[in-house]
Amino acid sequence: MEIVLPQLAESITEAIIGKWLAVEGQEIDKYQPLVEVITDKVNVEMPSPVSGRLVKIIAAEGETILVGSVLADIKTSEEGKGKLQSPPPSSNLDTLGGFISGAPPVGPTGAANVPQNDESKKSTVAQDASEKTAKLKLSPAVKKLVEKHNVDVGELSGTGKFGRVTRKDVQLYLHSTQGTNLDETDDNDTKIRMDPIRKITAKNMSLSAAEIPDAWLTIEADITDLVLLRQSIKQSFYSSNSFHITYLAFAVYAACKAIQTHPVINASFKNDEIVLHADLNIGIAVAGPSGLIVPVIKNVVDKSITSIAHEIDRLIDKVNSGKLTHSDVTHGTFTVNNTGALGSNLSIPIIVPGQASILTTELVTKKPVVVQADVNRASTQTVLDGEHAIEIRSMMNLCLSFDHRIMDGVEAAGFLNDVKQNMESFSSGTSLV
Amino acid sequence: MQEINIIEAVRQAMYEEMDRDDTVFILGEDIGVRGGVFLATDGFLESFGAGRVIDTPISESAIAGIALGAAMQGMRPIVEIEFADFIWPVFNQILGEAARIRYGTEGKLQAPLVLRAPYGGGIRGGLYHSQSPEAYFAHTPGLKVVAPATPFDAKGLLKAAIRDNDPVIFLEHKKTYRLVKGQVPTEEYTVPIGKADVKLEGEDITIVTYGLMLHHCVEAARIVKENNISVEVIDLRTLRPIDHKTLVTSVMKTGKVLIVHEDTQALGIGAEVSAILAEEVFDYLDAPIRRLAGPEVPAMPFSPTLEGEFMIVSQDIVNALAHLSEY
Repeated sequence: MEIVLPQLAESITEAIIGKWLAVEGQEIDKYQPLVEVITDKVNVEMPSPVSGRLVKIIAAEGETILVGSVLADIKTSEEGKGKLQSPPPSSNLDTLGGFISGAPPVGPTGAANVPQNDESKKSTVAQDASEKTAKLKLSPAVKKLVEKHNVDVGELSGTGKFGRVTRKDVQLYLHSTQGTNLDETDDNDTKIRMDPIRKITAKNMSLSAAEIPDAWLTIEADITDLVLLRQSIKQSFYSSNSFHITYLAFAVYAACKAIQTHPVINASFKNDEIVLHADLNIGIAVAGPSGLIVPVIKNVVDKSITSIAHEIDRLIDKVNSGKLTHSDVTHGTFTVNNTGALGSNLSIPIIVPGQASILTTELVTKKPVVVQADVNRASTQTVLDGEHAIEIRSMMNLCLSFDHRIMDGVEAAGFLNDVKQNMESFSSGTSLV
Repeated sequence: MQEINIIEAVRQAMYEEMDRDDTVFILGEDIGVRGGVFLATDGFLESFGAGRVIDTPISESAIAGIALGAAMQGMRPIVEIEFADFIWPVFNQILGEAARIRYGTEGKLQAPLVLRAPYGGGIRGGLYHSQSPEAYFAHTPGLKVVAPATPFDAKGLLKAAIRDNDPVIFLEHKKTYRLVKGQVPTEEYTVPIGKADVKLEGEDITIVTYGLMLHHCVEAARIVKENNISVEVIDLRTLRPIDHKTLVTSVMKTGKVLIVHEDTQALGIGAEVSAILAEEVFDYLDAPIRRLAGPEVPAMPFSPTLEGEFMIVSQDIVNALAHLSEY
């Protein structure tokens, strides 16, 4: 039978063959020292697992061989007579216990017992068995992962010891076949890796929340006249300009005019100083294909409503086509967000770090409003008494978050009231260019 | 910031707390005139006087008993045990009384005392100047056990220990005293007891350690990084109560664990850490939990050769990491 190098200790995978203590042709008794085996942990005289004649020495002195490789061939007396049914290889042959069982311990580690392998088996039977069992030996982490994702372990090639399938093997397999995120641990929650824009947004929002003591205000504006104006010019505006006139353009314009009398809105808080900016660059929040992005309209002060609308159209186009450049998204000093487009009636926006405030324009809603009774408008009014009447008006909330370090409520409200007035003053007489 | 060593961090922590709070006082052998055998209390006698810096006879049981009595009366004593090897006589006072005093008096009394003890080997200290007694104390509910490894943690944790209302065993690895230097804020700060610290972030294997071994572990992690093995090193810092959350979070990520301590293995801190992980994150383990600890011999040997065998070095940790990585 072929004598193989047994597992000498838990972490040993190979050994150096020392001096052979028997010569070819010699009759050997069971447990007689056969060969010196040297490892970095133990040096042992390996006893012969069987009695018989040493037919051939296969592993030469000084050679380094793997656990499970063949050392020598010993012809036992039973083999000479005929056949002896050997027990099948133990299922846990790759562990220390597999070698100890059924034989008294020999040598300093008690591990130097060679299993009796059936001669009909291949020479690498011990190693084959190790690989087979290693593949079937699933760690708790692997077991849970394969059960959850219904993976056939047989399909995987293990990179662990003796080909054991490691957790990383399963993760890589899932990643390549199912696109599962590599970082996904095996609980039931889904984890989504953040894309760069999401990460930047997260960072900026955290920074703002952590650093800026914000306060907020809401004022309701009656934009009935603006609604009528926009309706009347919508078509003709588009046909002459090939871009749309939006409420956002009016809001940006209204904010711009109000900022000119409230410079503290266009400011930054830096090193305990309030920096009033010479330029006014207004960012507009856009829901792009890969997330929120805030492109910036530069030098708004010089621009008409039409050119603001043009800028908005151009920037949104760039967002959607993914052509924004670095300069398109930097140097903003104030931000307007039309949250009304999302159906919102009221928001508390988060200030962009480095800016002093942020304005939202909310959903335009038709509401019954108490107004001054006016005989000229009798057809649209329900008069309550000589003085008051109810009329259906188009109303919009304007919300402002502001950095309370830079300004107080009185300044913020002054600005927001001016924005309201500007929004309410748009009418058929307003110049768009 | 200032760069100081651990003994200076310990000295500053005690000095600042005594300066801040009149109920804090120190007692122990040779801590007054001599300034402590490791000079942790150098100059304290001159600054605070003999009423608050008390040289005691060589009787650890008496020292601990006096501290306990004072603590029960509202003082905040800091005991210095000259070497942790001499700590055994305090067992009855600390385990039998101090740890139970609040429990036993239904909260009427408490024992806010700190017992500092230089521990650990690798300094040719032999059987009586090298031992690691942490497991004996960490077993006892009612005590807190702290073992910092850096100047920052030593100062912050000692201040937290002095302000804590439980008895705290504060273990200082004596080999790190002057060997380990680090940045420490000049401003006031504390480090919370019961919170482990990720000293090095990694993906593949988690090392859990404390004390002197932290520094060997970090070195080993740097060595194996060259073979693309990414190791996360957790410094327990507090041995009772152990911070489950930091351990669990890390092992859920890595799936493999190596626990390293200088103290002997059986029934040690590593056994508890191993049990916590087996109980709480079994389904995340991708390899058997492995411990690397001092050999099962009764004490740190005196012979330099044998002491060298006893002490774990970075190469031992590198080998263990390699086996875990290969698994």
